Amino acid sequence: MSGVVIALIVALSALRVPIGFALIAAVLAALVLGGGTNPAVVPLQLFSGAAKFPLLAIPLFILAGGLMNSSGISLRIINLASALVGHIRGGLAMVNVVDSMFFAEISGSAVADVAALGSIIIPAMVKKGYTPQFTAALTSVTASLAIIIPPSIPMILYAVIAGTSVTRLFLTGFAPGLIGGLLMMAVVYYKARKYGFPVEDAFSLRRLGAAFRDAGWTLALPVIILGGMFGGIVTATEAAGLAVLAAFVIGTFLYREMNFRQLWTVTLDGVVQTASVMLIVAASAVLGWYLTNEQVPQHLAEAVLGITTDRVMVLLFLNVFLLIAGMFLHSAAAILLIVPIVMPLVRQVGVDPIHFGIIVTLNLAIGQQTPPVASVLLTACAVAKQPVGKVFREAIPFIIVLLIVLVIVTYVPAIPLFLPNLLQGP
Amino acid sequence: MAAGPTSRGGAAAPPPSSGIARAAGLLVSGLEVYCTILMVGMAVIVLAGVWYRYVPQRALSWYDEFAEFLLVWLTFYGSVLATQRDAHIGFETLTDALPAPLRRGVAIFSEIIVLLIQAALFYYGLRLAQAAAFDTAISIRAVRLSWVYSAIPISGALMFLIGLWRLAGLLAPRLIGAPAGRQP
Repeated sequence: MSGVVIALIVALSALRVPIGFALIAAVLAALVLGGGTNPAVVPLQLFSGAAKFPLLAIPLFILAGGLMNSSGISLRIINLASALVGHIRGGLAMVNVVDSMFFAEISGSAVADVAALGSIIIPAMVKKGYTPQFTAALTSVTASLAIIIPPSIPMILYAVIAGTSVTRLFLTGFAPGLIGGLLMMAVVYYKARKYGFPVEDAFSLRRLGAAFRDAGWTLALPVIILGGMFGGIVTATEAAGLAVLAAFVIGTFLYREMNFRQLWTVTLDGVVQTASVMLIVAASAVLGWYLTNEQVPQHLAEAVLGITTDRVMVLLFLNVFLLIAGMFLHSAAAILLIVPIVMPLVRQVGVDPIHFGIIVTLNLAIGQQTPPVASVLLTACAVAKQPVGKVFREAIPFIIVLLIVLVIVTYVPAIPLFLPNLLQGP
Repeated sequence: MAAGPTSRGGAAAPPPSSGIARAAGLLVSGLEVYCTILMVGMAVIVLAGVWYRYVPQRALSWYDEFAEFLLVWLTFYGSVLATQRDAHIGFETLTDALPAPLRRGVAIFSEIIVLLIQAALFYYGLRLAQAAAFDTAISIRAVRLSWVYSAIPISGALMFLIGLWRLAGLLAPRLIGAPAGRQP
């Protein structure tokens, strides 16, 4: 029966039924036709799937991101990055990587990153003579750092599903994010030497100082969000609440770049984005309940362990599986559908659930860049008004960088786990 | 991850002469105000929780439970708005490649499936709310869970109405002035 349910979900999704509704439809059909359990369990599971306190961080980080977008924060981050790395060959392209690493510390969504920074940096790079395809590709892949470097909405989803600490999982993201960012800068530098990309103004301490002062309040944001969370003062959800408050105060009272109309639009967009993610969260609880009842996760674990019990091979299998899923599924949907099914397998081969969390996140960061379903790449293409195919070709070297980071993180767990072990103990 | 896709535009303004259109517009505006209050309320409750823990140093007992309730309501009432804006996350690649007439057929099919689900959510959600009539919230006993669960049948009914409106727009666009549908 569970095979029929999964086939039904695939068929309905392919026919453009929204994923959340496709999940509910398939389970409802199985319960109504199969008899036995009262279908009233469906709304009950929808309710308990959504009523989880750590999930509150999602609407709050979405809202905070929206507020930051329309409050002049992105421009200040770009100016600061420009003063830092603009003098290197391929200056603006370097800026594009560095501003994303900054923005990643205050934003939990890669689409938000592209929307906030892309609308400024893409026209600026094209004006300097970079091809629009390369520009869009770079903006897209660097935005993937937003979900690797904390805070990160996919990590919140994973932590809720796998029952791990959000804060601890966040800590695993710093090292891979930093390695990914530096490797991307190396690729940019290689291309810049080869094709003679332009440089920006020469480095000047005075300009850097001015950019720092101008960024002032913007720099307070990562201190509030990360400091509060990793200092053990607030939970991830509460840090998201503080981020909303800080972005609101900075945008409305300190920078005075936001009026009531913008606040209203930003909040309403936040509501709709939240609902579109949370519907899948709630619906996947229904499917998770059904599949667990049918013992699908256990059967999958037995099937895979029947072939191999080698941790390296199982992780390879999971990575390939997640990469393929990431091509076809929206990242939230991928986490919510796959994590509950593979978790018993992960535990049985002795992989730390926190370690697996960063592996899943990296896979989905890559999935957001790979068509046909590539939310971040498509957003960058829309901002730059470029065809997906050409942009994707330019993105390939950077996607390879992300794959290298994925291999490192998968097989050298000491790298992602160093920071959480250092700060919180093993 | 990506947050949801940005909406593909709100409802195309139906002719003002239509009474149904005006009622629909009012309903949507009301929902927008309501959801905004829920969103802001959630931020305020979370911040109040932090404030009470550190400043008067007494934790609010109801803080996480009621924040969760607000999130459930935001999920379901927000889903009504997402339905109206066509912003729910779906897989468009396949249907976008279809020729126009076939695409319209698939859109009609998908609307009908969603309508069936909303009808079921309304029916079973109502039964759940009735069954929970005597259950109460844990932190504040005066709050009945049936009020909390009510978001599911009510939002189901609202999405059903919006779905009918969209289906009507797909089947007879000229008749009612084409509401936001999935047609290009």
